[in-house]
Amino acid sequence: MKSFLPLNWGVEAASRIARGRIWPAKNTTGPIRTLEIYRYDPDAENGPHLDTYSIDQDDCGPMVLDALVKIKNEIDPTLTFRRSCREGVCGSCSMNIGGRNWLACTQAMDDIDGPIRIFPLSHMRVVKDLVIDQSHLFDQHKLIQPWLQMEGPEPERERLQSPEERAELDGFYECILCFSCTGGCPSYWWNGDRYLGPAVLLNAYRWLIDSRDEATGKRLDDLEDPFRLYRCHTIMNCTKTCPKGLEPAKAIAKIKAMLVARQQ
Amino acid sequence: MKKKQRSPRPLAPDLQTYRPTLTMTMSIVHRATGIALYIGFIGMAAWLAALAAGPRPYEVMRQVLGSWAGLPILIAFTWAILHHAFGGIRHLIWDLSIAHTYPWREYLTRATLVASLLCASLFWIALFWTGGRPS
Amino acid sequence: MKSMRSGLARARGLGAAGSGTETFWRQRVTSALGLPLVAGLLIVFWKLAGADYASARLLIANPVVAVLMVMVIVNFAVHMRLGAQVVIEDYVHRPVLKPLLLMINTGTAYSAAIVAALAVIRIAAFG
Repeated sequence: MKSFLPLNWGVEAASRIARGRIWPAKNTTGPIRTLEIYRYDPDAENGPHLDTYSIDQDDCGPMVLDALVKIKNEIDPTLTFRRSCREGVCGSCSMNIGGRNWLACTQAMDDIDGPIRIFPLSHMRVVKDLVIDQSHLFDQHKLIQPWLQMEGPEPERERLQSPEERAELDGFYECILCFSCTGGCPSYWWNGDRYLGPAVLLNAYRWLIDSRDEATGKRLDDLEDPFRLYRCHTIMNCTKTCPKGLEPAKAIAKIKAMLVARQQ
Repeated sequence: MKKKQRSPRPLAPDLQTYRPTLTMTMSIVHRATGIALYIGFIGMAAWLAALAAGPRPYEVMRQVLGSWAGLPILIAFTWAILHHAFGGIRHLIWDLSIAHTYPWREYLTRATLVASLLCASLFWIALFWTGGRPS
Repeated sequence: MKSMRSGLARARGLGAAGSGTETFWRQRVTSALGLPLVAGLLIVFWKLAGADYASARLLIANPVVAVLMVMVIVNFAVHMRLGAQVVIEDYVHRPVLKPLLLMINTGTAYSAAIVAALAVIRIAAFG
């Protein structure tokens, strides 16, 4: 099953996706790979549409990002997407590829059968093509105050942490803020204006358990809310779609456990 | 010159393009069985009220449940309550931060479906076997 | 209407409500306690299969069954009210409709529970 619903099922007029242009393959000798890519130009008259591109697989790198760069260089220079490190550390190129959110730079084309369908990160407002508006995501990240908070004067030397205390952070500090998980969370789809989403909550947990931080109670106060935190229904899409192999659902479960613990 | 009116930013598709995951599907089923059981609870209240009211109302209730539609509904409710209970166990386990990692979360999710189908089938097979009939 | 409000102000909204954990915890308590109750209810259901009026009354009037039924009713009513509340909050965002549905939910769940509990008590206490 490809998805629960047909492509434009229940979609508002401005977001409906039309059939777009089919770009013919150029100078190909090797096997052809087809990509269907979501296109939207805010300055054009028409709305979103799905363009079809064909590329020579032998003349392209193995990852989806390689194909996007190749298309932009050789076929259609107007194709717009975010990318930077091309090796899974910057988090820029997250998008919906073959039905799940992942980084284009670490998604091998060989792991996808048939035409590769690429959409912007699920349920996000689209600025242009595969570029989404991230401002609300980063405002929510700012809300949890993702920095070390200690009272008193700046110390002379670094703030100490035992190796065991440092190990507590493993699996929670590595987030690159690509928001694949947040874009894959149905709860965020329905209540993203108030629900903080898995990525931000994972980061919140990372600061909650930092042994050096002195604001734990206040941080918990900020999360004690039916919508900010408790919209998580452990659907697990976040953990499945994390390109870094992190477990946001576990972090959220641990935040809930902390909140329960301080009441008993 | 009139300035071009910008249309609102389109929303990227979600359920229309997201490949269904087992845990997401079971989450939906958990919710659906929960809502069904809500209705079932009202039905149970009506049944108890009929029983308390006397033989006549009880007989009406018995005929409704014993009709051609009653049996499948009763079987469906048996499965729904078992599935919701096993799904509840899964959620309690996840709340303890256990079995989040692949493949355990998938095994656990599959196990709830298998267990509910198995238990509901066993219940009804055994019930018919021992000669009991739904009221 | 385009809002001139800052993004951070929108993200913070009305601030943290300072509640939610108690609801979450109550839902887990009723879910854990509900597990043995489901088993008990299925046994009662089994015994009731095909029962005529007299034997059904006799079964519900049994003190153990009656106590079990009242526990089922109270536990399930609390659990399902909270569950339906979450569903309403998830999908309904219209200002008047949402609080209205939340009220209807509370009323329905507790009314059904009171009717069911009184029926059991009447059968158990007055034969």
